[in-house]
Amino acid sequence: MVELTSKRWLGIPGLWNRFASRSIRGSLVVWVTLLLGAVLLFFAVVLYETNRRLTIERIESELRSFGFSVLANGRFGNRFPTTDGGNRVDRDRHGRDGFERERPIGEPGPPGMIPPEQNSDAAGREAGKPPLPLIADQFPQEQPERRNDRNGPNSRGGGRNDFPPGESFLRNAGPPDFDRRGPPERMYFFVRREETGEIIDRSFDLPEDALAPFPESKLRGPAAIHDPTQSRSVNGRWEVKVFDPSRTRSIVVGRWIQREWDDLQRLLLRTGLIALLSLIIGIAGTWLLARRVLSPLDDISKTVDKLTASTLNQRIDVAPLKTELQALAEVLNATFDRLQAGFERQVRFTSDASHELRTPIAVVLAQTEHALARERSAQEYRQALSACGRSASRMRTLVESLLALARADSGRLQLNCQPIDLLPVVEHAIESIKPKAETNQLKLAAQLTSATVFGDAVFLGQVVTNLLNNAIEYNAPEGMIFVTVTSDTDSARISVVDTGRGMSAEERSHLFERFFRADAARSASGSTGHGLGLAICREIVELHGGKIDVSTELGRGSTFCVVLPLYREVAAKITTEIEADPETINSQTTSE
Amino acid sequence: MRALIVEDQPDLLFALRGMLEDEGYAVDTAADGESGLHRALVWEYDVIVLDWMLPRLSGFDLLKQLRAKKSTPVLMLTARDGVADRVQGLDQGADDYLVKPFDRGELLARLRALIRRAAGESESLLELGQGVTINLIHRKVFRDDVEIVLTAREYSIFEYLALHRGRVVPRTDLYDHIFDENDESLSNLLDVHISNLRRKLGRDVIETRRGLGYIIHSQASSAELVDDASHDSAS
Repeated sequence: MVELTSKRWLGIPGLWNRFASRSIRGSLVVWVTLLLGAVLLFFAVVLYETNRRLTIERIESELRSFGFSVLANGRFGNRFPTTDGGNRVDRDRHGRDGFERERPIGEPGPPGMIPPEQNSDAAGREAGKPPLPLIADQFPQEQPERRNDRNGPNSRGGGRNDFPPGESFLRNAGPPDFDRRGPPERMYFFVRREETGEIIDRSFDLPEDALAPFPESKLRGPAAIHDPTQSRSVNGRWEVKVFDPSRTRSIVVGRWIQREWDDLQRLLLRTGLIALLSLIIGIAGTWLLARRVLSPLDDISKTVDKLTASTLNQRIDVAPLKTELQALAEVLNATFDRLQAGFERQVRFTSDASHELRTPIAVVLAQTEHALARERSAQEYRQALSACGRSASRMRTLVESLLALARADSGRLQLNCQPIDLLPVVEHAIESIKPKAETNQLKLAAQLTSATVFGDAVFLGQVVTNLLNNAIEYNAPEGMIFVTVTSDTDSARISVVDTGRGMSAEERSHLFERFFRADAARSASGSTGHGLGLAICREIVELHGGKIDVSTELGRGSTFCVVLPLYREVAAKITTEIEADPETINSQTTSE
Repeated sequence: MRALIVEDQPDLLFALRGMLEDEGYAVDTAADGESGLHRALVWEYDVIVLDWMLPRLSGFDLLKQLRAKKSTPVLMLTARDGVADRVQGLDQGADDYLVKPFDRGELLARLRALIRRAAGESESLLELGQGVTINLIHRKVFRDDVEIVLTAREYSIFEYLALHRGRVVPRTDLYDHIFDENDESLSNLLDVHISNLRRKLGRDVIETRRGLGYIIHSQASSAELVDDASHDSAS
């Protein structure tokens, strides 16, 4: 299950079923892939979005400042804030700045630009107003970089670095990439209007659709300055609307944002590649880790796989496992111990049973073959037949014992339980065994009191007979057997005491095992038993909810004790059971 | 041939004894391991049939103690049929292994094979010279392809001498191997059987070494004997 062959990899359909759902390794990899993918995706999105927001914020604040300065100055000079310091004269490739008034007729302006007929600068000058101080004059001048040579002779190179606070947007912006994006005048534009919509001032390259009205702001008052609805993204550029405090005029400033957009795209691509790489490394790492972690599991499964009936003594090597798997291996080993013990018990039982069954069959076969080998006398035939008969009856008792045990094992030994007095049961058993005891010259004594238990008289009689039989077979010559029935507050007790040879502790521990026989008995009485009697006794007594035990001393004899719960103890319970389920009880009694 | 049967099941012991006696074995029996071991050590048996599960002393332990002193062929007879049981039994020194319930023919054949092997024979048909052959399977003796009818006891004596041909077999050996412990071994009983055998097979087949015992010459030497006999008749 855990081990996957490479062949299965080839079956793409149902890959999940074949791979992930059936392999810890596979599902681990799949889950790590999903989780890692989700995390990486999340971080990629966060990174991209943060960058986007920061970029937009930067552009917005830059544009707002730009707008406010235009508002404050009333006009805009021929200088634009540029990303490389901000106080350059922006010129296009023809050497014009964005606001030149004289433009050769017929020469088309930059695409998407409105021809600068209404140049505010010109209007301002014509109105005779003194030129407002250039916005850039208020800004610190920065030493232009070497690559900005093309700024031309109008460039005001300066070495001052004392930026006023709050204007850092110009300083922080990186150098523009002129080669790729064209001259910087294309980046900025503005239009200044009255509330009525009349254009007061505008930049030379104002995009046509920049005059479209902004969405209506819901904010009123000064808060409107920070109104996010006052900025918008239009066709690859960013525009910000700035009101003067009286709200009579507004200025829309904007810039092209292709470069930032490209940067973001590049960032997205890089993030994606890094995420993919991390994912691949993560999957590979997970696979290796899973293999490393699960390799002891493979060893365990290999060991378990090799475990067959003949190699049950093999165990998992616990020593190299220092993780939780060690506990698993130990549990498994303990299970194997029990399995092996059970298996050995089963093998012993089968071996014993086959021995016990084969011996009488061997007798029957040997006797018949021998008798039929040649003509025999009537006496010899009689002997052979009686030997066959003895063997058959031996087989019968053995088979019946085995069947009884099998029934008890499978829970099908049906007791016809009712309140019975133990006294007559034990008395009857003693009566039936008396002749045998007399043949063996044993004294049989009893001291019986009445005790009522809830049980099956036939089976309990069998238990007592069995115990008495054992007491006779294991007794010393001219020994004694003493049977008592006593009762205390909650239990009845049957004891059978013999004066036989007793048992060693070793023998005693195997006493209730099937086919166990204390060795001496076999020779003493010609082995009439099969070694199943006490096993059956125990099953019967335990079915009655009682206990059977033995106390013994080697050379002194043994005492077998059967303890059964008294009837009045079980009465209440039984009654409720009958009330609860009369059907079962009825069927049980009728079937008996 | 003299056999010992160690078996605790009385009915089986009875049947086994009957079978072996029918085949002309002198049979001793033991019902438990201890007496079995005692008998096996005291007497020279040609073969022992040994049950595995015995009271007092298991067949396993009996074999172990027996093998320390003797190499009597032992056939294990047991109801245990597991491979491990068989391996254990054979490793312990059993010469053969038969699982109960067994077939009478197989048991007897295995016993014959054990006795034959113990005597260093591999064939069941022995040629003894002077045209005398003995078939160990069918327990028959032929002289010039004519069957000579022998009693069971006579056959047993002749078979024992034939299996040990070329060697002088003492009378006590013959007594030990031909009669079981319940037989009344009168000293002249053996003489009677030998003389009967000589009458049936010819005087020269069994030679008497006075004070030592009896001998059947092995084929090479019996060929010389034939030559001598022909010389005698010629002269």
